Amino acid sequence: MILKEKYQAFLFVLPVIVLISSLFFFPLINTIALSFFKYLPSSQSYSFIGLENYLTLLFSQKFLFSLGVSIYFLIIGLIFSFLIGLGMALLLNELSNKKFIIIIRGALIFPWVIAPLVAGLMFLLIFNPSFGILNTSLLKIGLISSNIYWLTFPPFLALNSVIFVDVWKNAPWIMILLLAGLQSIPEYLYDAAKVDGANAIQRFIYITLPGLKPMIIVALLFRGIWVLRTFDIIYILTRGGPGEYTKTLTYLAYEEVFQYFKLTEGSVIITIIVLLTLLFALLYLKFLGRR
Amino acid sequence: MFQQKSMEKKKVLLIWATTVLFLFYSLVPVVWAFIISITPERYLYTYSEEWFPSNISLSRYIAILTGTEIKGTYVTRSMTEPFLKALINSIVISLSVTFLSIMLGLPSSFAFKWLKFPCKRILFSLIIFIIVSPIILLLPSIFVIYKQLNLLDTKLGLILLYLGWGLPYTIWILKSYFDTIPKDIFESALMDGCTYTSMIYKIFIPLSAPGIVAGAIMSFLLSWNEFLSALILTNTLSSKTFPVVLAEFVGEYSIDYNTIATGAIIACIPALLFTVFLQKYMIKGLTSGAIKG
Repeated sequence: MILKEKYQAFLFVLPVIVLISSLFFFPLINTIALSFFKYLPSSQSYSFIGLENYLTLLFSQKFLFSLGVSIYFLIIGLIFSFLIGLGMALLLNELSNKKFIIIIRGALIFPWVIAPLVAGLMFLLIFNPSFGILNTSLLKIGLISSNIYWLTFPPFLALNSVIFVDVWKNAPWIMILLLAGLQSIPEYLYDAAKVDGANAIQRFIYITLPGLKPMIIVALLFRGIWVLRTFDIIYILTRGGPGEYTKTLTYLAYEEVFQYFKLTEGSVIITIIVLLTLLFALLYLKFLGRR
Repeated sequence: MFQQKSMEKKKVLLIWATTVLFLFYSLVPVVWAFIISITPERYLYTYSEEWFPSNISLSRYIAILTGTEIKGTYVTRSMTEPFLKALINSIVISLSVTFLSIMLGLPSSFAFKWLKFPCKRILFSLIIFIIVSPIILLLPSIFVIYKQLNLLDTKLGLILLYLGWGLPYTIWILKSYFDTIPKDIFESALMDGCTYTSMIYKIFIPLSAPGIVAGAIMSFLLSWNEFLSALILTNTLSSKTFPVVLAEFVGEYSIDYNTIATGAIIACIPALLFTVFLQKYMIKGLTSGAIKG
């Protein structure tokens, strides 16, 4: 019986093992291995050079700058998508007994469901300096007197515009997680606090936030790691520019490998992304294990 | 008493103001793209005068969805045909990935949940690692491997890649749905002499239908929305997906924002259908894995 179970289970997971080892782990290990090699055009072969690629890249200006962009992207993106997601979740929780909740929830979640590339395209139409709705509205209200170049100048503004689009696209995901968390907090805790005379802010700090804590950790961990995925929005809005101001690590890796065909250099960046991903995955597993 | 009533009123007002604000924030980009898509050409640069166009037409949607031209404008067949072909490619690829990931995902998530086998924990940890990994990790090597296997620029190549990258997510969703099914059901079926295969088809598929719908939506969206690997692995209209053609269009005909907006809205149709008709399942798919693990 036990043997049969093992054999059957093996049959059930075999296709998955074959697929993920040939389409995920083999390419991944291959890429990591490449980062230790150097391509020799003369003999059209690769030779092992140890950590040389790493040493060259890790101290190069373009890598450090890109790392800085990624960290800024991560921190600002996390803070704002968390705040907006939390705001949306609190709102939906207040409305949860209304009939039309499904419409409002649907509207708020919609940005998350569409393709990142399409989100980028939509904001291309909004940020356009001459006819985009943003500049035309601001001019009309009189808040600005000349067109603002949201995606080009000043470069730091461009980075923040790209982060804004990323937050717009991804905050709903945090909203859904936090909403599930809010709905799992038992109502009687709030009633008891009210009897004890706690005001709304105290109830939020002493009941809502502690109740949400596990969900907040999951949400921040996942958003943190998914920031490394942001590519489509940057590609369509700025192509990593102006200068290198929106070039995150993922974009830098794409450029090195597929624009400049520096396979080994690009593999170094990718290996660093793998390490970061692994770190987040371990943190998440540890967190799951603790619960 | 009176004070409490006015507090209540203030609270209601605050809630409604916030609702309007968030709705505006979430929907303006979509609505704006839709307005541009139904606006006649050359109307664009007078937008500063009015926000909603006075004469509208759906002709661009018809042109793209049928691959025809609009007479008297610069929307030609050479412009709309790529859109139509890419749209069909995207549909074929996304549906294949959805079907295969459910077909392969069901038995394996069943095994992960109910059966004992060696290395189960390690394998499941690897699955979580894949879920959090960005697809860029694979692309340099996949490109080289696909070149040797003649899988570059084929729909099959993209289907396989999306399956390898997306199947773990489906398994995760299905397994966390299985977690909600009581163990008694599994044990009594075993007592009755049910084989595992018939158990899956007769008991677990009907019981976990919402989980299957959630998993199917997620794997459809994953392949429908994916852009980076399609950009790298496709080269001609035999396999280019809709997002790739859309992105190219921005570079090629940078002036025609109306058609870009139309394409963007068409790309949103599945998202719209899921949000309107299957929202409950979509949210289940979104949260189930992350919460229970």
